[in-house]
Amino acid sequence: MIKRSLLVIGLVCNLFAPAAFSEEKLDAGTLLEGMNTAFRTLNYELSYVAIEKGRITPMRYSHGLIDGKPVGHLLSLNGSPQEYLQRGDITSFYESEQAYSLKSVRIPGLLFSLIETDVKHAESTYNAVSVGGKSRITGRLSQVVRIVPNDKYRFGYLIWIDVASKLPLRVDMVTESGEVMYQIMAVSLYQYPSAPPWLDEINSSPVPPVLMMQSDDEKKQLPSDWKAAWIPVGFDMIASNKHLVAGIQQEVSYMQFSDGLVDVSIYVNDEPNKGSLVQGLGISGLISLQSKITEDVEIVVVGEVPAATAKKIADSVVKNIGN
Amino acid sequence: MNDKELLSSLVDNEDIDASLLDQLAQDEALSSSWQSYHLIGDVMRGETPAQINLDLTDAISAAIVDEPALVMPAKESANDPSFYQKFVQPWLKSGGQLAIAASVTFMVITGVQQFGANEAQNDFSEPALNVMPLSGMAAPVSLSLDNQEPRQVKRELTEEEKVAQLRRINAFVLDHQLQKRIQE
Repeated sequence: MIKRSLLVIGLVCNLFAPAAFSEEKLDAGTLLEGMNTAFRTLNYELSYVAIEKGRITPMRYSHGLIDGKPVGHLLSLNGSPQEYLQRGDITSFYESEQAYSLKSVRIPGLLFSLIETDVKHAESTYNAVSVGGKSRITGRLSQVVRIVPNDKYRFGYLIWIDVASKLPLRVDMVTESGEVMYQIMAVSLYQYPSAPPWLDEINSSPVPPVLMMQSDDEKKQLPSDWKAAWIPVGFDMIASNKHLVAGIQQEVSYMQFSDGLVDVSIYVNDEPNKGSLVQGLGISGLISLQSKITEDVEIVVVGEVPAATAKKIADSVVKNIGN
Repeated sequence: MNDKELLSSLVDNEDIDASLLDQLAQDEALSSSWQSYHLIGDVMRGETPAQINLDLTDAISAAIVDEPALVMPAKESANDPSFYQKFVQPWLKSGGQLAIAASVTFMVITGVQQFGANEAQNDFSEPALNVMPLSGMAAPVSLSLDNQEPRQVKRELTEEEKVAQLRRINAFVLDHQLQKRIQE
């Protein structure tokens, strides 16, 4: 009885003076680090739905350590299966009949980008804030961390982290005004003492051919004929080249920028008479696409940024006189 | 009373005994009787489902053991020499786009057609059949025309043009996704 009263007093105190119980309220950095470690080292199966503009996509992610090596397997549960298998630093993509592997990449998707991004190192562009109190997600108690952008040119994030396992249970991608553009919601989470047997089996499947770029030159810095006069602070150019865009069979000038968490692609097609978009804006929820058409060029900006940002970047693209 | 009588009374909700429930969970033979008794009760009350699955728990355990290993296995592409000729070689020669592009283009086109057909009915609520690779991966984007640009002649696009536009939008969105994979 005494114990119970103490607990009640404790809870009441907690309500009124949360700061006094520092061991209860971890700071955001510690929570994110804990999540990152849990995501990469625990043996678990996390099923979730990704929700975007009313479309719901169920996914299942299994992860385990096999012989000390992390193995992750993401599977789409509806429609034709899309699968991604990460074994150490090789990720294999099973999306059509021909599977392939790439080196040093992660499984695609916002969840995996968020886990990999070290928000501490991206401090110039994002701040991580712990939101006091706990909430219940997937039947579990979780703590909420907010990733707040330092400007209005990118999205913010809310991450619900399971108190017991430290695994992420929910992610909301939100606009400045708080509108949820993309959401990941766990529906079940199972933890295992060791990697589950089916993951072992998947791990022993042959590695599809590892594709490599011919050289780093090709990968990166061909000086572009074009430049973006404006790009939000914290976005660095990580690629600049000319390449054929599959599906439209046109070669375009290409630049890619990254702020460590999301990417922006800029395409400039100087032969719009051979095919071009009309001027407009497209939003999928996660991705914004802005096209800008002038007499002699088609400019297309695609990225996981708010529509206004894509438009501002597209409007700033000019010929690179320096070259 | 022997175990089976106890069990029978338990089924009839006459005597709920915690120790018996424990025993039930442990004892396979008893547990099987438990299932049978319930089934008999159901039949007597006329509550049998259209299709009787006697061994759901077993079926679930079996399903867990049979968890698919790579639901969509590649057609042994690693051992297929033509794969290298057709896909890997062009990739190496042309700076890296073709192999991956070949893998994803198919899905995009399917997606565009679905979405295009849907949009043609001016129904933006939800594609009838969502065949996108991943939500947010190559999500179809709704196109809103921005007519503020004076050069842009304001006119309705034909259905064909709309589909072509969506196809082009998806080509750019997919290329963006591919570049994200390549540039690390």
